[in-house]
Amino acid sequence: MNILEASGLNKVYPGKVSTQALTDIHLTIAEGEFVGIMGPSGSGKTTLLNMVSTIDTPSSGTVKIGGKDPYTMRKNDLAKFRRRELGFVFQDFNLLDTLTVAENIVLPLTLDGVKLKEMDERLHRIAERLGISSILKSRTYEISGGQRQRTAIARAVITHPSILLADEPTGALDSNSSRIVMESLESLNEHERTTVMLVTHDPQAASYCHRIVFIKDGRLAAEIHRGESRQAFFQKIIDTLSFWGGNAHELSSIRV
Amino acid sequence: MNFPRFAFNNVRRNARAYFAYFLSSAFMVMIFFSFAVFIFHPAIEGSEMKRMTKAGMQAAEYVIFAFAFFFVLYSISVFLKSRNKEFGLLLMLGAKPGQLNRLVFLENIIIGAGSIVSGIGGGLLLSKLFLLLAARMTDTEELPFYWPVKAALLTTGAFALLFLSISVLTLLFVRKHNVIELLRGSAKPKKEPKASILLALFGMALLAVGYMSLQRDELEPASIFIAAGAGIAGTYFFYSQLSVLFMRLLKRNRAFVWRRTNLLWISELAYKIKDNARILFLITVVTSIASMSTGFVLSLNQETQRLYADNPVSFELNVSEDDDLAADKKAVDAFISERGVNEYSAEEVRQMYVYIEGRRATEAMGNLISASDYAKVSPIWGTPSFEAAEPGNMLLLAPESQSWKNRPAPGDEISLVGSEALFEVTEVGGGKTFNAAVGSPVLVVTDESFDAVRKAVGEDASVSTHIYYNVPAWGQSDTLDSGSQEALIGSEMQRWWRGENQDSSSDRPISGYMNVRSASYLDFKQQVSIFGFIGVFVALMFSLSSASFLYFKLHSELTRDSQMYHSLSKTGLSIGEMKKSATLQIALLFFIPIAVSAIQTFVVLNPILKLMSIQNVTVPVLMTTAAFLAAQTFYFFVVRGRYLSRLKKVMV
Repeated sequence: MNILEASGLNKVYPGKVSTQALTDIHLTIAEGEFVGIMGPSGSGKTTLLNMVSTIDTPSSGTVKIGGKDPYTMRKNDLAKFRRRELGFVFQDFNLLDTLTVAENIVLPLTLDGVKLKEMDERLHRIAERLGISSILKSRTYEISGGQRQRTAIARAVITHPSILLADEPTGALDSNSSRIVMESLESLNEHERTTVMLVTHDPQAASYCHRIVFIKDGRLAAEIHRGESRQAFFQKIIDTLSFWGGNAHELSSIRV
Repeated sequence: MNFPRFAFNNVRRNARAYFAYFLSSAFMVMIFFSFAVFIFHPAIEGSEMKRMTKAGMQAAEYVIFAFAFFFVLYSISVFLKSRNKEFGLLLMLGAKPGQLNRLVFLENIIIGAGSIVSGIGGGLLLSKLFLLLAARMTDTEELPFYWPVKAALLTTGAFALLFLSISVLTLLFVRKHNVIELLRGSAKPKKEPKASILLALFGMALLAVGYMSLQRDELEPASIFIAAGAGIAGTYFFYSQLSVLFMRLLKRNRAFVWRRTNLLWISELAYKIKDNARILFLITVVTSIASMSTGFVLSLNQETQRLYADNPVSFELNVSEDDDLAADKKAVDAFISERGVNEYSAEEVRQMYVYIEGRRATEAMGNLISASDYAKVSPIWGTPSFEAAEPGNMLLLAPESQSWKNRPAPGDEISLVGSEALFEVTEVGGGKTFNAAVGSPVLVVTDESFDAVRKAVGEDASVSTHIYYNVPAWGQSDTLDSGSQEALIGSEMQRWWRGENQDSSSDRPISGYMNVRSASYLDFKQQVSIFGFIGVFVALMFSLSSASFLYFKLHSELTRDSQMYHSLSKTGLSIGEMKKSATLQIALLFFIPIAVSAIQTFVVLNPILKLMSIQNVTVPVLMTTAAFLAAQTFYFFVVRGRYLSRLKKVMV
């Protein structure tokens, strides 16, 4: 079953000089897939993610998530839809520093009015899976970047969303933390069968995906699939990037 | 583009950022100016009789100015803090610290000049309203509008000085020249607000001490000062410590906190209360003082009204020399019949001033009345009759809650200074009618005993004849219309017996004294309403400024809050939930101080007014609180509307 079906997506930003950010994008993601979106700066990765995450409306084309078209919904229903069907992970974590780690994670559940007992169960299960059980009572400024991102991932998946959308989740992390975060995502994908759509610049992070879609100047440029070895896949990503990108500095692992 | 031009454009093109600062400054100017318009009003300046009022108004003007100073200083420090990033950027681009100082200084002058001009403009409108209100409250004719040149000059001068000195002071704020710190600005994560259990307990103890010191039977000035000090300090700890402690305890109840938007607003509020502890504290104290003074004035007002409404005696003639009695009586009778009042009753009562001695009754003064005279007035006073009495019995009439230590009770024995006789108090009476009509203790004894005491005291006896007049046509209503017959004749009578119509005051038409119900009521009412006017105005001013304080504070937190709600809305916070959470936070910030100050007002005013033998405290306090609540609710809706519309924009 396809979780995400985007067809014929176009996005034009109007203005004195109108910009065509996306042109004719077709993308499907099946249940349980781990898909990466890569491309140079300004290629339209984030625009695509915004369309999928219902934050921005496409100029034309349709997006279906779990068979539903979120753009026909009303604003309040849309908020509920985002809360239940989509999970978000951001580059800058977006955790509330007025809340503890545990409170941050259960926030979407409390908004939905889930029973306390069920919240506790889900919280402990997910915290164990992500290895953050020991810091549940801590504050967000007391923990490391990797722990923060795992907290954000826990918050994103505690509602059992249809799809987890991750926007540069390793962008602000060092390599060790990046590895732990990506392994967490991989393990969620493997054991909980969470569908993941990952937007990244970082070939190392992208190498955890099953499939990578390359975008350049708002168009789909290439698609590669992972074989058995992650190391080989990494090399393939580097090759594709240099083929499609052309300039060496675009391989840098941080977004400018 | 030269430097002043840069500063000017900085203000003009970034108007929104400066708006809150500008608004709060202009607001203070406006209040100050409209008050000055009133003080310098030709009709007020000319009048001699209102010297006290003028002094009071001037004092209030000083208070406003001091308040304005701190308010503007506070606003600018918050405003500058929010611009740290901009300063960091300018420094990075190579601006010299001196240039930065000049920029801030120039901006301040521009904003100051702007707010003085617009404040005076707004003040012209407000003062018209204010003059109207003042006329209403002091029961005088409406004061005409005039061009307040003097007031404008004073306002301009005072605030020009204020902005200049504040501009100099702000140079101290921008001292932090570390670029990286400035650039990061307020991006640092906020630490969890902590409360010390010891300090929280200390705060509670302070509040308890304040409360206890007011609950003692006899209030002394010292205990009022203790109560004020402990109460004010306790209020501070209440916000900075107790509130945080309370929030933390509340958070332990996860079933409540982890429900819907509770988690959001409760945790945000814990930070906000602690961050705003000083402001909330200030608002509470100011509101408390304002509502205490208003409540006090209102109670006085009510008391005055009661003294009129409960008093069955239209007027009273009091003659001490028996020889003059007939002449005085005739003069009064002639005076009122000349004015068309023919139907009235007059009860003559002989009263003798005595000092009370006794085991329990320490020395107090009272009026001794014989039983036969008492029988004439007891129906008017509404007091128990004293018929089947024997010599040696005494009926004691005492005003309610008079500050009379060890007041005698039935069964007590009383003796009177200068006489051997001993009386047993058989009954104690009083009542509000008696209270309004007489107001001092009355001792009723049999006719024989009265004569015996009088004989025993002899030459020193001070006996006078009181004639209580009652004009049925004047009726008894709750309030007195200043155009009614009673009011007109009453004030004429007051002037007449005082001899104010004559050339010299020694040339009085009667030898005795009179007590005219309507005239004393109107006199008192005039005095009270002047107090009331100042009290209410100051209260209004403080309430307005506390609201703008809160608005300013919220405005400065808006950037952070909109970031938070933006990211929350991405993860599926609906607009309705945002509204609920934000509304609750704002509501609590607005209404907690009102609730706390209502409690404080009640706790403080109750014993003080009791001491002044004013019984009904609840109604004035409730009225004051209700008025504050109404004003605060109005501001709340305005501020909430603006705040939510800004947040709504960031919701995706």
